Amino acid sequence: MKIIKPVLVILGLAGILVGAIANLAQRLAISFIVFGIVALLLGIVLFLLPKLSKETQRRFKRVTEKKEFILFLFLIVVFYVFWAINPNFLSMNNIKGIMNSAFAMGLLAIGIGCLMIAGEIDLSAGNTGMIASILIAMILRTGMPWVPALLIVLIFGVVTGLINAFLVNVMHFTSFISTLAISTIFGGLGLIITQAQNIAIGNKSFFKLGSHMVFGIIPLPFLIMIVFFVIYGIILSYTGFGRRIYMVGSNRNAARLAGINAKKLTTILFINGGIISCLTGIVIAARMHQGSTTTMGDAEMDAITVAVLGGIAFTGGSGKMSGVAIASLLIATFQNGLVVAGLSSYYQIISKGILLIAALLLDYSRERSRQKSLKLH
Amino acid sequence: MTDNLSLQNQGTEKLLEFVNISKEFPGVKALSNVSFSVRGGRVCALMGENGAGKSTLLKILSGDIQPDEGCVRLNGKEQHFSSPYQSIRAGISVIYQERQLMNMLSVMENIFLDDLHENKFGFVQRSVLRKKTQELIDEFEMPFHPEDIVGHLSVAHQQMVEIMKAYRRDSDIIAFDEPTAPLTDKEINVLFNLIRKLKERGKIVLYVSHRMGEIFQITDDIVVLKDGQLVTTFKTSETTEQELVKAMVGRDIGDTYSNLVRNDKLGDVLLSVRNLENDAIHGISFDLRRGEILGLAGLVGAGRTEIARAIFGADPIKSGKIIFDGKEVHFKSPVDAIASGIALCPEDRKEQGLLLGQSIRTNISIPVLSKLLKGWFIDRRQEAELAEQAVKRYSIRTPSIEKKAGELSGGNQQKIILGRWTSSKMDTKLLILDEPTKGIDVGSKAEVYHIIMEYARQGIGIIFISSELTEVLNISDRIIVIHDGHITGELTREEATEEKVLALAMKEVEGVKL
Repeated sequence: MKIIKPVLVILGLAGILVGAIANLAQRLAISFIVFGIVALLLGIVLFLLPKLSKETQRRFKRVTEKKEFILFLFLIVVFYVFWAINPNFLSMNNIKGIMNSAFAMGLLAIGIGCLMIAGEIDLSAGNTGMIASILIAMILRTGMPWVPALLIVLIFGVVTGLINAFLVNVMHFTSFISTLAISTIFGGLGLIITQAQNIAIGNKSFFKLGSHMVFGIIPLPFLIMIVFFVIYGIILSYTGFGRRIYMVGSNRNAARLAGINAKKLTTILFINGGIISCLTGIVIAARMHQGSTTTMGDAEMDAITVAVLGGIAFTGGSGKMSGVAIASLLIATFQNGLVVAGLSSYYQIISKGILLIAALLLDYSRERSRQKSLKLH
Repeated sequence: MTDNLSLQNQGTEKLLEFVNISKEFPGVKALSNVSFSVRGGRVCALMGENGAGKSTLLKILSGDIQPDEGCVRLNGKEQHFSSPYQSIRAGISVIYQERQLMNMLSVMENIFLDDLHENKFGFVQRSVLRKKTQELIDEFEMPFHPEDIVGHLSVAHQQMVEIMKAYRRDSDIIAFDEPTAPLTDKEINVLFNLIRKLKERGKIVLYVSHRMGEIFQITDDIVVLKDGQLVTTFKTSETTEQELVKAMVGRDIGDTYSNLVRNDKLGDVLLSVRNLENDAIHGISFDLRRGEILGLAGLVGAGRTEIARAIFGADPIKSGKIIFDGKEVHFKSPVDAIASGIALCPEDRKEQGLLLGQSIRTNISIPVLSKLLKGWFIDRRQEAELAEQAVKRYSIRTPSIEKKAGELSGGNQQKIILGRWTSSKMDTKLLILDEPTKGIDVGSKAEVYHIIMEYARQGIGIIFISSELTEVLNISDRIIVIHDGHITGELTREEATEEKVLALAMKEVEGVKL
C-alpha cells in the first residue's frame, strides 16, 4: 500500500501534462486534466495525513466518512459521466430541467424527512399536494388574487397535518397506516371534486410562481427549495427544537423520560409536512397552469426515496438536510442524464431503484467496517 | 473532615420517604404497603429476588408509573409525580437497568438531552455543551470524546454515559438500578468513587444490585423486599451475607456451592478446538470432555463471548479446526450447531435472545419447534407443558405462560432464556452458558448451579462464562483465562484462586507468546 501515494502523484502530474500539451479533442483534454488534479490531490492528502495532528486527522476522517460527502462526490462523478457522454448535458436549458425536476421531490422530502427523523412518516404528502393544486385552481377561478388564495390553501395543509397528528398521537395509530388511509381518501376525493378533469388556471401573475427565472438563470421553485433546505438544515442541526426531533426519533422512551413532549413535537412536524405538501402542489399548479389529479401521483414515494438516499434512516433519529438536498439533485440529474444519453424515459424509473439499492449497499459496507473496527478495539 | 461535612449538611439534611406504597399490575401484586425512609449522605441498597418489586419502586420514584396507593415524600412534602419530567424537576434522577440512550446521537447530546443550553434564539450552544461534557468525561476518567456517537461506544462506556446523564443534573436523589452489570472493574472503581463523592455531598443514593460484594462495599443501609413486601431493613455494617440471603429468599439456603452434587466421572473428549482464529480471537485451543464444566474467565470484552460465538457458528472463523463429537465440523450458522446438539445461552437477552413482544410459551419453544410438530401443526399442549416446566424449574414470576416476555422483570427475562436452552426437548450434548446468572437473584442462581451440575452428571459438556469470579471458581472443573482474544492460562479447580485468575486475566499477551 505504500506505493500508492507516489503512484497517485505521478499519475496526477502525467495526466495534467498530457491534457495540457498533447493535441487532444477538447473534452478528452479536460478529462485528463480533471483526473490528473484529482489523483494529485489524493496523493498529496495521503502524504500529508499521517504528519498532521491527531485532532486534524480525526476531523478529516469525520468529514470524509460523512454520507453527505460521499453523495456529493458521487454527484460530481455523475455530472462528469453524463457530460462525457453528451456535452449538451451541461447546457443552460438542461441544467434548468434538472433544477425543475429536483424541486417537487426535494421540497416534499423536507416535510417527510423531518417526520422520518422523528420516527414517523407521512404517506399522504403526495395526495395532499394534489388536492392543494385542485383547490388553488378552483379558488383562482373565482377571481381571487393568488396571494390570499395561496394562504387559504396552506390552511388546508395545516388541517391535514392536524388530522394526521390526531390519528397518530391521540388514537395511537401507526403513522405508516393512518397516513396511507388519509392518502387514499384524498386520492378519491380529488377525483370526485374534479370528475377527473383538469381545472385550468387563468391568473397570469400566479404562473410566475412556477416559472419565473431569478436573475434569469435560476427557476423560482428551485430557489424556494434551496431556501427551505437551508432554513430546515439550520433548524435541525443547530436549534434545540431540531435536536429534540432527533431525540424523539432515536429513542422515544428515553426522550419521554427526560421530559421531552414527543406528541407536541410530532404534531408540529405533521402540520409542517401538510403545509409543505400544499406549497409543493401550489407551485406545481402554477407551473402546469392547471390543477390536476395526475401531476402529484405518488410524489411521496419519490420524496421518501430522496430522503433515504440522502441518509435519513427509516427507523428515525438520523439524517441531515444537506444529504437530502444532494440526493434530490442526484436523482434529478440521473434521470435527466439518462434521457440526454439517449435512453428511454422508462429507464428513469429503474434508475431510482438502483440508486436506492446503491445507497443501502453503502450503508451496509460502512456498518460492516465500523463493527469490524469496534471488535478490534 | 467528614464530621465537618455532616455538620454543614445538618441544616438542610435531605429525607426521602416511601409511605405505604402499593402497586398492582394485571395479575401481579408488585408492591404492597412498602414504607421506609432514607436520609441524605447515606447509600441505601434495595435487595430482593427477581420480581420482588425493586425496579417497580424505582419507576414510581421516577414518575414513570404511579402507585395505586401511598406516596413518596421528599423532605416532608408529599409528591405525586405524573411524569418523569416532574420527578427530574423535583431533584430525582434514576439510572434505569435498561439503558435509555439515543444511539445515533453524540455523547454530549445524550448527556444534556433535557437541557441543551439553548440561547435566546433557540440555538444549541454546542461549545458550552462540549466543554461541560469534557469536564464530566475527565471527572469520570473516560477515554471517549463529547462528539462521539453513543452507538459506537462499548456497552460499558454507554453505561457510563447513562450515569453521567443523571450525575450532571446534580439531583438530590440518585437511584442506580444494577449499574455495574455491563461494567468492567476499572469503571466500577470510578463509579464507586463517584458514589462516595455523592455521599459526602449529602445526597441520597439508592442502589440496586445482585452482587453481594458491591452491597457490602458501598452501601450503608439495606432494605430487603420479597414478593412486593418489605421484609426487613439492615445496617450494612451490622449484618452478614448469610443473614441477608436468608431474608431475601425467606429460608436458609446454606452455602450455595458446597451443597452442589458434582459430577465425578469425566467421559471422553467431546469438543476439541485447535488454533481458532478470527478478528476477535487468536490461536484458541482447548479440549472439553463429556460431563466436564469448563469455565471461561477474563474481563468483559476479553473475547470469551466471541469464542462461544465462533464455536456456535454465529461468527465466521478465519482458520483453525473444531472437532465435535468425533467429527470435524464446519458450522455455517447456529442452525447447524443446534442440529448437532450445541446450545448457546447468550449473554445479551435483549439483543440476542428474547422476543420481547412474544409470550413466554413462544420464547421457550423456539429452538425445538420441529420436535413439537404434530403433522403440519404445532402441538400447543406439549408446547405449553414445556413452558410450564421452565416456569416451575426457575420459579419465573408470572401469572401465566401467555404473558409477553417484555412485560417481565429483567431477571425473569434471563430465566426465560435459560429455560429455552435447557428445556427437556433440547437434545443437547454441549451447553454453552454466557453469563447465565447475570441479573438473577440468589435463589435462582442456586437453581441454575444445580441444573448445571445435573447436566454435567448426564455427561453433557458445559462451557461456563461468567464475570463473577467466585462463581467461575466454584462451578468449573477447569478454568481457561482469556485476555485480549488469547488464552493466557489454564487452571484446574484445585489450583485456581481469585488472585491467580485475575493475574492471568490482566496478563500482557506478548508475555504469553514466548
